[in-house]
Amino acid sequence: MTEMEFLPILFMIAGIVLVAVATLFVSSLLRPSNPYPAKNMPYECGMDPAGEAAGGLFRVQFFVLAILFVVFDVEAMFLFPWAMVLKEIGIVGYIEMFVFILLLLVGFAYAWLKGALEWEL
Amino acid sequence: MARALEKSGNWIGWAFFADFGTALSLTFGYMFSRPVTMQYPDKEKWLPYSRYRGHHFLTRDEKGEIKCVACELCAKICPCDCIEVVPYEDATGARHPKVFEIDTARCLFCGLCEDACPADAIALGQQYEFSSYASRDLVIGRDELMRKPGKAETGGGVVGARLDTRDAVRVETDEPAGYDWWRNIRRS
Amino acid sequence: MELALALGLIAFKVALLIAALLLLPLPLTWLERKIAGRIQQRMGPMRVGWHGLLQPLADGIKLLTKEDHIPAEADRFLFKLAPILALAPPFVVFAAVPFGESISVMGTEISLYVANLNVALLFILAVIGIEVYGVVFGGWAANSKYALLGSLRTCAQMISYEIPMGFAVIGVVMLAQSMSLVDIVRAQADMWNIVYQPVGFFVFFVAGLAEAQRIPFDLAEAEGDLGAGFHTEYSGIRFIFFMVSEYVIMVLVSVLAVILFFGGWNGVLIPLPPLLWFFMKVAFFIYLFMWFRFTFPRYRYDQLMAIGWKVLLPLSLANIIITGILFV
Repeated sequence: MTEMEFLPILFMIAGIVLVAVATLFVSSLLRPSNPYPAKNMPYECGMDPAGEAAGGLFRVQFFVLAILFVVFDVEAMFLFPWAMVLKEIGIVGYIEMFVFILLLLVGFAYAWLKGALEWEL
Repeated sequence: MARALEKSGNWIGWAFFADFGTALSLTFGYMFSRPVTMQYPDKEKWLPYSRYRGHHFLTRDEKGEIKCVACELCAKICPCDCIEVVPYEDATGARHPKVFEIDTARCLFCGLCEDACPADAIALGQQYEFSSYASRDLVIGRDELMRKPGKAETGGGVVGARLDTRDAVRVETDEPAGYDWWRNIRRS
Repeated sequence: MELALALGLIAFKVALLIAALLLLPLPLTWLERKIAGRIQQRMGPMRVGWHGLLQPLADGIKLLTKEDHIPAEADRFLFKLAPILALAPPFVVFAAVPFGESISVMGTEISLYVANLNVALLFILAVIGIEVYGVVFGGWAANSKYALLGSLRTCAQMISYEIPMGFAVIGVVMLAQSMSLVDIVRAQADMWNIVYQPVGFFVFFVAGLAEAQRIPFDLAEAEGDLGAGFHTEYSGIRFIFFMVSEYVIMVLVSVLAVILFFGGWNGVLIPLPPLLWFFMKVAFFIYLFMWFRFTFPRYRYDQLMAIGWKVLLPLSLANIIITGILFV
């Protein structure tokens, strides 16, 4: 019956996409369209934009953060099933997970001490 | 001992976000205070104090004649050159203005014309609603200036009003004296 | 025949839910502006309709008929895709949220949820993560510096607070021994989870504020310093999509806080209909969000990151470890 359980989700995705597209269509009938070069420039408080914004130049901290996120998100994925069956696996399972969390915490402490979490302005 | 207690109290307060609670209770109190908004122009209107410098008006003497002697001192002293006076002499030889125009679009409402006038003929009243869609409508002539309301003794209050947009945008009111609006402001 | 009936019921529920969620931002924006007004001793919107009740409708019609502006150097496909990617996840998530056990209409039992997934909690956390794509695509595709900066900051903020949020609910999963939201509420019939999991609730609520991008964590918009963040270049109908998604996420966080920590539709003392209890609690949380917005200033970006990584993450991990040892 798992298929039946997720069927409503499919309905929901179809429904909301349908509504979004329908709204866009209705709006396209109602709205004016008058683009000209000055209007189509990116907004930069009235200055002429210089250079490419989406050229891929950004701070490396964002990248470090993304890596840290992957590590901890995977940990969360492991924790969910563990938390569900904790009553059955008892103290042994608890200690196992404790060691796992400890190992990750060592990495986290390393990142912290290295200054990966510092944001100088 | 007392100091240590106070210090630990601070720490407990810090741990339980005591100052967040203070801030939240303050804003919650404000939520039930009286709004200070004046609902202009739908329901209320501000009556300025009598010292207010609003729209100009020309006064008359006891016989209903215009007081102005067309000496053009007001036009001379005006810092933005917005007054134009053209004099004429009537049968008795008295000078009066044939044309008296104030361009209220240029006027900066400094009140110097009122100070300069030797005959107390021109003054600035309390009317402040004279916006317009065309700047030529803002040049006010002699007869209209004489029709404008003079200074009221009272002022500095809020009166009931309503917006009238049938032919022109006007805010009407029929109450002469307003209530003290400042009492709405919460001081704590 | 039975299958067709079941499918029809699902379609009906989905349609009802989408309609309700799409219309919800209308009263919510009105309420938010009214609350803002009252707190600042103003009146808020007064002129369109009775006490400005029709103001959101007027705004909606205005935005619907606004020109759809796409910057010249934008990546047109991603630029158009992003609002839909931002709009869809919060709605899809609501399919897994229960509003009550069931009510009987004309002799048939109708459950008050669209889908009772046995992994509902995981599903919600996973799908709400897709929201980030809308933000990143929207900001990058516009090819504008304000939008790019805003989207990077928002993205970093959302993924940072997703971790404490995930960890905070693990204590709840332990207590209920289930990830189904219906089971979690049933497990709170005697005592609400907030009693056992105060730290978990605190972490969840703060992370929820950040996920919903509300003050004091609304660095995404930061009206003062980033234009409008990642949706600087959006106008008209696509702008509505971002706004609606933001409000639906706010409602979602309120609903989740009620279900996970405040006993869902279980009432106390006063016997009211369960659905009424549920909506009263949700309304309280929504009010709390708005109340916070007009009380606190915005955090600085480095403070935001420090709160997420150096306070909430260790706190939520400690919460898991301590809850675990008490529970085993």
